[in-house]
Amino acid sequence: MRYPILYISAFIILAVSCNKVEDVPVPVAKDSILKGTNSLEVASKPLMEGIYKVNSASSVFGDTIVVKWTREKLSFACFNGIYFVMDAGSLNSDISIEGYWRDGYSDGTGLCAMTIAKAEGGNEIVNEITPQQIIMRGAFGYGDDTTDQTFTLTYIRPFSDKVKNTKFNVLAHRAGGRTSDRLPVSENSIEMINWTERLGSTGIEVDVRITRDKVAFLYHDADINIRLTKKGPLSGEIKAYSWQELSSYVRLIHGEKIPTLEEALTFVVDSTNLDFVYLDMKEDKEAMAVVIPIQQKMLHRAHDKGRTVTIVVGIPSTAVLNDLMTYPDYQAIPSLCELTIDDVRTANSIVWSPRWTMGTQIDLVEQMHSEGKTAICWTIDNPAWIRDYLNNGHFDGLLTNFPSVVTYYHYIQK
Amino acid sequence: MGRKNIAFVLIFLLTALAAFPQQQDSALAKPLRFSVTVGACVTHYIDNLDYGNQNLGKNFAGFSFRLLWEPEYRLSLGAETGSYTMFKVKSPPGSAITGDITRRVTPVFLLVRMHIVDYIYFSTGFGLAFLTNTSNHADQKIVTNTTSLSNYLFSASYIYPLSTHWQLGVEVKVFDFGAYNDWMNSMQVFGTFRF
Repeated sequence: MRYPILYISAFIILAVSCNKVEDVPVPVAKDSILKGTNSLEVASKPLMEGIYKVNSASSVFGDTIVVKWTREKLSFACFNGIYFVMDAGSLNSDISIEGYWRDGYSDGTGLCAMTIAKAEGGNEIVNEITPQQIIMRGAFGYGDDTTDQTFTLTYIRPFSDKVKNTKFNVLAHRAGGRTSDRLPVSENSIEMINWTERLGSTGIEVDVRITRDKVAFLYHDADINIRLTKKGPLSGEIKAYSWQELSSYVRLIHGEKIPTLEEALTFVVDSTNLDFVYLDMKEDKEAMAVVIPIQQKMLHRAHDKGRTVTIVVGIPSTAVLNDLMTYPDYQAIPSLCELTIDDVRTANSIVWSPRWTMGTQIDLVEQMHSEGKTAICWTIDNPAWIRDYLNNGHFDGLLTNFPSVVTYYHYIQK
Repeated sequence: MGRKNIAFVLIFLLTALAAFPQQQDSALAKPLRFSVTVGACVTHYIDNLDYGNQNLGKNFAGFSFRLLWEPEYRLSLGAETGSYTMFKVKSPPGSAITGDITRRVTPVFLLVRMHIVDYIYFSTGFGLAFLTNTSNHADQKIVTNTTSLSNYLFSASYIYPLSTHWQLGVEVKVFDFGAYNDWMNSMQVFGTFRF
């Protein structure tokens, strides 16, 4: 063999290239400080929420952090896309807080463990009294092993009245974020819907497709691929298959079942505090006839449960608008229109949703407001732009792959 | 390294190899510059399915067709195609649906073959592959097609000349089809006509 090194090199390059992109595992503490603690009472939790000063590690997490309870988890949101997902419990009026942090824009992650001592706010919080001060002391680390970096947070102030009194939608793209951002659960899954509130999301956008036998389900891409799904025997255009085939042979990349639209919305209504769902229609032929009855059924379900949940069918294209207009009394259907404001009026959409690259468009947003409609901008991911749109725009919500960043810049407002 | 980069590296390597003059050319100048090869093979799918691989059939028959330009003693250039069944999955007993799924592939590769020593050849190829999935469930046949853009082939052959024009051989191949990261190997016998 005349050029063995060249052939061997080519083979090695090929072999190495076949490695999958690694997941970012969620770190788990080996010895939990929460053992033996008691759950905090519901009334205690809001007392911990607010803006905190970062006394150490500000070079990593910024000068301030937003601390907010999201259902059963205590979440921290930083300016730079880092977020914390924490559990908390109390023992003898000391509050222990433990969980992990993750950089949404990279694969940085690690453990975090903190304590609010009895004399530093723990006693008041446990006894449901507004504390004079709150100091969280503890440490964080990198990876699974240690928490060896000092980390201290000092309570500065509660959320402002402007924040408390304004309804602002933090909408999570693909039910929480993209699979490509290496989140611990798959996009457009029930598990992601369950997880996204930990990032501060108040609502979600999900991608809706229709099977061959007219079952609406959540999935983004047009084809079955190994980017979004575990490698299985089915391939090709996903809408070609029946629901039985998809549910039997396809699992999302982290092993979850593909949910039907009805399963997903039932979960939203029954098991979350999410109050806005944007159904991004990926099919434009006879899809509304399948999706709208489910939307209506779920709106009634929410009403019956005493919940206010807005569920809108999306209109991303003229073809989808035309599909909607074939539906009887289509102007009574809650919808979100990404097209012009004239199209918003044609469909009588309740939400106008322009692309973020069109700018803040304050005049048009105010025009929509004057017509009783809301305006939500999609899909904005860069922290600097998010800050700019929140500070200078008049939108009623932002759709993003990084809800924790929108959460930070929204709740930090004075 | 992305597959595009690999393709560039392979093209570069193969071009470099082809650019070197072979000393034996003048001594072994052959009037026969082309060959047509037809082969029949048994394929084996290297199972890397993460889900749904119960009742997986991995061994199937296939065939290939190859056209080569043989301008010199050492290297030959050409194209190869074929038809192979990668796998067949039957729904496991007790599952919600009964039926099967079959994935077939038709690669269309550019090929470089290198004469190593007497009778022994190595080949490498790259090109397109057309994947066809056929799902048969509940009396419904669903066929979907996928074009895979990043695909590779490596093979080793033993070729025995029967006469001036005819050759017989056996070949071991390994395929990589990038769209779904499918790997398959094959053992084939073939006949070649040189002209």
